[in-house]
Amino acid sequence: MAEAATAAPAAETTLDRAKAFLAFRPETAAILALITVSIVFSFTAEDFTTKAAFYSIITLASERGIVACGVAILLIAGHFDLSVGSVLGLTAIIVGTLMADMPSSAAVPLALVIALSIGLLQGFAVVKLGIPSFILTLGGLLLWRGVGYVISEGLFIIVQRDDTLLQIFSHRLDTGLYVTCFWFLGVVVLGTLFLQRTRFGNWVFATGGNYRAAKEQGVPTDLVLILLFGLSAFLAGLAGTVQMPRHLYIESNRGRLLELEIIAACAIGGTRIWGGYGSVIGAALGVIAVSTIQVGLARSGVPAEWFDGFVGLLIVFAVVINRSVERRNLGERVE
Amino acid sequence: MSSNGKWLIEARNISKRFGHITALSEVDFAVAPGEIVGLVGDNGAGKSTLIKVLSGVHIPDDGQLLWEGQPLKLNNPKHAMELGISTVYQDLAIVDTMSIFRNFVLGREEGSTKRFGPFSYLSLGTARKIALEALNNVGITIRSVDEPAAKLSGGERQSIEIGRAVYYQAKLLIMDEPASALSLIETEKVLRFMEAAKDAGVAVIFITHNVHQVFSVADRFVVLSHGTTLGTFDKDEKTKEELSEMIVTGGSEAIARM
Repeated sequence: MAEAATAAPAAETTLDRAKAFLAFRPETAAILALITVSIVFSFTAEDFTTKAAFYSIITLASERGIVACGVAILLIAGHFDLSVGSVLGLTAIIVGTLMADMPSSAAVPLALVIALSIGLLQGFAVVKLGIPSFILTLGGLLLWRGVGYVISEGLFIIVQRDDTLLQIFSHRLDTGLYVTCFWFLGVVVLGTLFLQRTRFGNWVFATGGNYRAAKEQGVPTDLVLILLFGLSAFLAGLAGTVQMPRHLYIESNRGRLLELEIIAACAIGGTRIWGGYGSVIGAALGVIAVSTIQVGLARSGVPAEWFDGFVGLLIVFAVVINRSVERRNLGERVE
Repeated sequence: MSSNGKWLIEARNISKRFGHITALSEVDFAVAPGEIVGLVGDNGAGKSTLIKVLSGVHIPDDGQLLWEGQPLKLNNPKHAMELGISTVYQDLAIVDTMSIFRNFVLGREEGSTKRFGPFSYLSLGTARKIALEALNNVGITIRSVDEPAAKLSGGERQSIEIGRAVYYQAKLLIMDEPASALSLIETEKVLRFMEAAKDAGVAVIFITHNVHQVFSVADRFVVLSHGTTLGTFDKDEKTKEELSEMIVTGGSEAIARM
């Protein structure tokens, strides 16, 4: 590296700092992706620029987004959680089943504690048994789906949609907007503050960026990971609960393949799959981009099956941009 | 090595075995505040084992450690860190994807934590200020502490770790082969940083098998060979060539000539 002897030391202007801040943002690709798909669908989709379309996008994004925040934070710490779709479904099934026998004020907290415990258990297994999280949570994906089938006996569970507690999670306002979006917003704001402005957040980045270095600097990496697996499953459970009143019943397949959509959204949102880099806001924008495609395609009158293909294209587009941003920011040293 | 009160850390008769292999056999070693001791010896001489004993990574089988004259039993690396023993290993403890200032406060965020009602949060402004000031104090100029650590050169990364050790008031700085992956200019810089740490009253142990690097900065040398101490020499007692020869021959010829 060349000598920068002429540069005055410590003469840091606000502009320099702003530039450094912007150059280090992982959200660039997600913002571009969102603008691109919005422009495309504003031509092809019917009534795409209406409030109704916007609210549909926001509602779909809110439920996925709550899950994505937990998964993104765990990815930044260097680990996968493939079980979120199954945990989301299982939590909804547990809430729905328990509500036949007890008030929602007991059923919902109980189900959320179960979701949290599942996550902590998975985290404990990854950390203490040294099982790669990809494999362990793949096991979780199958196991918790199976448990859901056993509880529901494969049958539909009717949702008591006008229950007060469930309405707090997901009331439909007169405008057509679900209050779910405020929960989503809350999770994004808290998640961002947590990552950027707490010492624990610093530990998350360090654990994913360089595990050995984090340990040598005294970061309690095991604790960090166990808690983040817990957070990921808890938020999946919360999303499962929040989603309930929007449907008449819960099907045993609820949340199936969600984990792939979530990881896609995180990748689009600039989360580094090897850990150490990313943001909750990026993942949230990625989720909004994916939801925009879903609504846009539906309103363009094309078969729903096109959705996967479009998300696939978007991932490639975003990853190409993210890689170039990363390379410019981090240099060639970082793979 | 008789004046007991002068040493920061003293190792007496340290032995360490791994199975049938004796890595250290009755090794004596000591370092005082404000001096640089070169710990030299060929590969396999026991240098790494000795510094791992001093960093709390290995527990010695025999012998005694003294810290500021008092008997010391190191339980783990964290314990050593809390005492003020800071070890900079060859593979540095730097997180490439994080900014320089976040790296700087990593694991010691307490100093940049502020309270907001019942919540405590990380003050980025304070953390930036700490990193910038601390690096300036050891003579390191950084373009911006917001840059990711990945952008730093090998020498700059070393200097971040040294700056960190000095700022968090390390009493003992252990540098394990600091120049092994550095260019000549960068090596020169790291040597200057070590001298800055020494001037700040830090006891510095410089581990290397390259006599040329260590000769200019060290006040004393401890030569290890096959897990034993060949000797301790003040800088003016031996020439660079004599020292090199001792390392290469394991001391036999040099001793024979004495």
